[in-house]
Amino acid sequence: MLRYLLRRAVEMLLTLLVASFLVFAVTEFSPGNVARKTLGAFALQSQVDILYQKLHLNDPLLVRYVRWLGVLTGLEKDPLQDPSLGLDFHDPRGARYFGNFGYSTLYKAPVNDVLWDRLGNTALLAGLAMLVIIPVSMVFGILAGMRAGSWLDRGLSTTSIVMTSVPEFALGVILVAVFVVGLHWLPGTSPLDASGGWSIPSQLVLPVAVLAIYDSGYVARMVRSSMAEVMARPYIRTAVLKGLPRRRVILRHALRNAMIAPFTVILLQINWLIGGVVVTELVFAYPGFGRMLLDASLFGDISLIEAATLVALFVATATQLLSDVGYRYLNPQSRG
Amino acid sequence: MSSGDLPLAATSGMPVAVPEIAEEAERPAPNLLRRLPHSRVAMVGLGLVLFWVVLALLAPVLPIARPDAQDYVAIGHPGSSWAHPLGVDALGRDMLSRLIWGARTVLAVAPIAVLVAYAIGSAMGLVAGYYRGWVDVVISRAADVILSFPVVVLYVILIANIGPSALNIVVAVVLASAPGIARIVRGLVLSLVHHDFVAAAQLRRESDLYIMLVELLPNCRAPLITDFCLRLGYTTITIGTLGFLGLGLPPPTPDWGGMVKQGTAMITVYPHMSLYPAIAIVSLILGFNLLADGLTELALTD
Amino acid sequence: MALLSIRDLCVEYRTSAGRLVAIPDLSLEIAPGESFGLVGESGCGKSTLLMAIMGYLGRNGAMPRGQIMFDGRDLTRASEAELRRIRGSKIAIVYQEPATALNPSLTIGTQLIEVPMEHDGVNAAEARRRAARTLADVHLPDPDSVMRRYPHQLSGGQKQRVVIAMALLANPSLLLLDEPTTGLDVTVEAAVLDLVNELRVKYRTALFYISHNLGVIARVCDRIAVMYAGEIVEDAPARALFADPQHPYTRGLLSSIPRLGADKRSAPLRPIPGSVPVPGQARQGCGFAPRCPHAQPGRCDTGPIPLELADADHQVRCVRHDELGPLVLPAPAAANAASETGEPVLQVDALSRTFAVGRAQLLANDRLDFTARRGQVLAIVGESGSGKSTFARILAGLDRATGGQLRFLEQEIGSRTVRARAAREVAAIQMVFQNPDGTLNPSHPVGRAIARALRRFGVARTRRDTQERVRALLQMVRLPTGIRHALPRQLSGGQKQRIAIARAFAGNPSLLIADEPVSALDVSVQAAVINLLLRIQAEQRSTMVFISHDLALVRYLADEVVVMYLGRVMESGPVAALFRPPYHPYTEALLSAVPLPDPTLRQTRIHLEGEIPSPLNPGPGCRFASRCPRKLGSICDTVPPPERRPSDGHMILCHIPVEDLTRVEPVFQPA
Repeated sequence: MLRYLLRRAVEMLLTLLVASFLVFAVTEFSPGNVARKTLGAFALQSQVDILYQKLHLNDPLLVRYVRWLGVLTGLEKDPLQDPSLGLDFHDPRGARYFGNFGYSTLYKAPVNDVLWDRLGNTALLAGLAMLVIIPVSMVFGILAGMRAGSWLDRGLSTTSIVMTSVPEFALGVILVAVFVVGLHWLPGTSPLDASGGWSIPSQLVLPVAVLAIYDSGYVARMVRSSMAEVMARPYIRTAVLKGLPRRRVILRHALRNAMIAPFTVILLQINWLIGGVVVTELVFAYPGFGRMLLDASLFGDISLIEAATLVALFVATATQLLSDVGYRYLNPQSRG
Repeated sequence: MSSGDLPLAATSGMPVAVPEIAEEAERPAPNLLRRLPHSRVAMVGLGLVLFWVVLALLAPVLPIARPDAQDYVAIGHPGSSWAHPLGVDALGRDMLSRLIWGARTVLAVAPIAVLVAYAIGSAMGLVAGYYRGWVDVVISRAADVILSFPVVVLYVILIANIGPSALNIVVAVVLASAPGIARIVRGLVLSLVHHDFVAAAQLRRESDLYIMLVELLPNCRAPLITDFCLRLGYTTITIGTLGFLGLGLPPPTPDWGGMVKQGTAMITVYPHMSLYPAIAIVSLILGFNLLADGLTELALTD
Repeated sequence: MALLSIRDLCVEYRTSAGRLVAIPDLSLEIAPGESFGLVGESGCGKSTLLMAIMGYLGRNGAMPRGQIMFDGRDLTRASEAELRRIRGSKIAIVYQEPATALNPSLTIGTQLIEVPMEHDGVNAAEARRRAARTLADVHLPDPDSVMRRYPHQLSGGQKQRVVIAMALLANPSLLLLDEPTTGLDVTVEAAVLDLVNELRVKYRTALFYISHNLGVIARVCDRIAVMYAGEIVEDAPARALFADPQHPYTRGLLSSIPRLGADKRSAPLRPIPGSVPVPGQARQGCGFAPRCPHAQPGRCDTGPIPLELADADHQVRCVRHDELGPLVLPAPAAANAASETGEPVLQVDALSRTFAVGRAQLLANDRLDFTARRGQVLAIVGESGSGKSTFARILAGLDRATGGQLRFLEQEIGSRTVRARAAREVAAIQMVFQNPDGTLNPSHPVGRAIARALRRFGVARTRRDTQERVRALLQMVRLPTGIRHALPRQLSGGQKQRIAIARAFAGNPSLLIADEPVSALDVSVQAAVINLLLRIQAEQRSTMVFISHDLALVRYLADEVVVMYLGRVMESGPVAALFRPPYHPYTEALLSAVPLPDPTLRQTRIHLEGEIPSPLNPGPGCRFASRCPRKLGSICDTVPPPERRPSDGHMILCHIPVEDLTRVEPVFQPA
């Protein structure tokens, strides 16, 4: 098991390296752009040229990527903090430390000052959504899959399909039209600040609902198909024909096998939620990670984009690792 | 088709008169698509999709305003009227016309993107599953890297850097979808490659290309048709989402996601400007998803 | 009083195509402690009958008429709660595939103790004690360790023993067995059958055993019923059924399966024409009439045919049963006609194939040595893991040997796969595969494979020529030529194998490999396919390498036999020499395990201990030593056995001297 974990951890690190290189390549492919974006639209061409020289942006992409890795791991100084550039970038942590993601040009602050608060807000949102998604999708999926083809199954399955057919932005607009404009029950924006007269919990209801409704439908369909498949297996027939009561057949014989596939799916929803929050946070003006990433991308805040995607990738690959380990635990056959 | 072997005297060596099977007596292959009418769910889905396809095709000849024509008089009362059954948007453009022309956009971009993704993804999956070994390792690892990105993050970064245009949206969808398709095809090929008909083809000295394209690929059909419909739904969501995020097709192209976004500015006063395009996109996605669900069910009851 | 009494039972399914009657009207009785067998082919309704008894027909199944009386109660009317008290406690069932019948994510122990805990209300500790005792009864060594394991950690035979133990745990008065040995190796099958016989006495349980295999049923059952198209066509004591079969279907089955001692020259098989009907087809009169050589229009195709008494205790459903006279099977010739010897076509010389499994070596083929001549049938016999299919793949060019030589018409081919062989060489060695469902591409019309082969081998060049030759090949395998436009799913298993045979002969091969070509087919169509293969092979003077685990079939069609165990040739020689002493102890065990539908022969019973050992890194001694009932001592484990040659062309790889092997009691003797 330890060997397996070690191997998977190394694989995860490699995936992170390759993926972060891809992100780096996409954002910094054109070196002239890098200098221009760093200085902003109103800088003079001569300033851009000077920065281009100082940052050695004419070096090959791979060299620049290794340099970026050097700054990130604290092996090298962040060149942008060099006072001779006159950029006025200050990081109280210094120019060289492990985890140095650079300086955000959008927020005019070190990335580390911007990133983690927002990530925390998003974790709150995603965590609440998961607390809704897991029980709702389980109940829907298990009830529907228990008796595939029954009326209950058809009803629940169709509901799930409808739920997954409403994209978050459409759902956000519909919910706002109903609960904010029509009924005046809930606030239309969620700045996580109670000064507008709405409590913070009330501000969380709609964003969580948007994330949870779409995704519960998706996970419920996965749970349903897994449950239906297991219920058709010969060992379920064995259990029934042993004379076991239906409760025991479902709880003891079906559920454990039926949960193997959805377990992975549910963990992967964490990966999905990282992306899903982008839209939701935009709709409700929620101060989170997703909206920050979107703003950074639209603004061209290179350091922040790279940092944010690296964090997103880390969460995604870590969940993947977790789900693989969990799969091995749930499925005796994969343990050998 | 008459089932059952014909009587024969196998040991005698005497030829037995064998009646020809009449051509018209042959049953057509119970093809998944041909059995579609048996699934009510699939037919509802197909109806929804066809509704938009027909409207999109007829857009130029329908008696509706141009999607970018502005009616300055109507801006004052943007609700529905005789001239504008679904009202107008904040710039006085006819909502109905923009919805119908918007259907053209999404129904052109989504299928093209998914088809290209399929071409590339299937090729990758076939090669990986058939040759296995290091080819498989390279392709599967590359797919893993792409699939480890949260999808929306991937789209946002890509489009923000390469710029919003129909072509770039196609490129982004292909990049994001092809690895998933490759993974599915690879799995199907791995389950097929041990069948004896593949060995039989090798015993005819068929080329690898022939075996992959003629022997293996057609047998991946059923699950891929379902996945294709699902992916059309996802891609419709993606195109709408990109439009909503301001990364969609540049204005004034009518684009449902963009229309929802523009409408949100006025949502407290005139919710219809956002609601109608939102409902339009939901109906199309629902159509694709119901179609996929019906097809899955048909494939299972086969 | 009967334990189980089924009266006028009708079972039907509602499908999208309407009502499908699986069993129109069925009656039978089983006495307490009786061992009752039901024989029938796929789709005849025998499994449906078992599930009807269990009240488990699924959501679309129904029993609109009839009764299933058990223990004074009609099971067709029983509530779910009543059924639950009977299932697993009074009536238990042993399934066809033990691998899928056990829950993969629960330990064996967990799955076993549920039965007494549910039905007898005992606590877990007592349940565990009972489970261990029952596991010991089914001869599983170390029950406590077995209980801690998961199903995938057991072999197929062990899993089936666990399923049998599970069924016996609550001491049922009726045990249903649904082809419990299908998919198991012959020696394992024989052991399971002996176990069933032993436990039946010990637990005083009545058996209801269903199978497609008359030989298996004959080993276990006192009374046998034959089922065809949802109806019982004959019901008689086992001995009477085999000695004096009345129904034309029973007679057809008995004359279409090889009897031991019969061979293709002296007593050819008589196939039943046609194929098994699709379940639920509406019909008038006798269901077997369309395939019956004795059918008479006007008598056999009208009205329901009643079950009549042919004799006390012998019932038959045939209006002509008293007009047919006794069944005369061709007597096996005393001496085997000498096989004609052509020049050697295939010379196998110390051929080896090793696979690296981690750091270990798997010797799938280890120094194989034998020769096949023109016009001969060479049979390779062995259980799973013996390496016979690996050899077939090397010979066909789908795999490569790692050592030794494989010479075909004086050319070395063992080191070359099809990619490195010339088109002529590839066309010359063709193969018919085991599974009719995988052999044809499901997406292509069946004629396409034949046409492609003709083109690729340069036999036909123009479109017209190809079409002509496809027609000729289809006629050769006795199929209507219009069938070439059909898709595989529209064909029966027998038809698919005929297409596969036509495809294999497209390039006029001089050597045909047949890898268990009939083992997946219905019993009643096997003979026709076998005879077809033999006829074409004889006409074309081609050589056939026939791979099989069925020794009776091998006895029937082979000229030369090679017996393999764990990658090594244990014995080889002319077919007649292998079926009488001296035998290799493994051959002897295989012969004693053959299920024979012939009560006139007495068969010695040899039990092989343990499981087939791991093929990884075998020791220096005899491969079979770990299970050999005639093991001499440590010499068998440590010293490679010598090749003994009792007669010309006969080789036995064994430490036991030929004289001692010759003195063993023959496996088959007249009863």
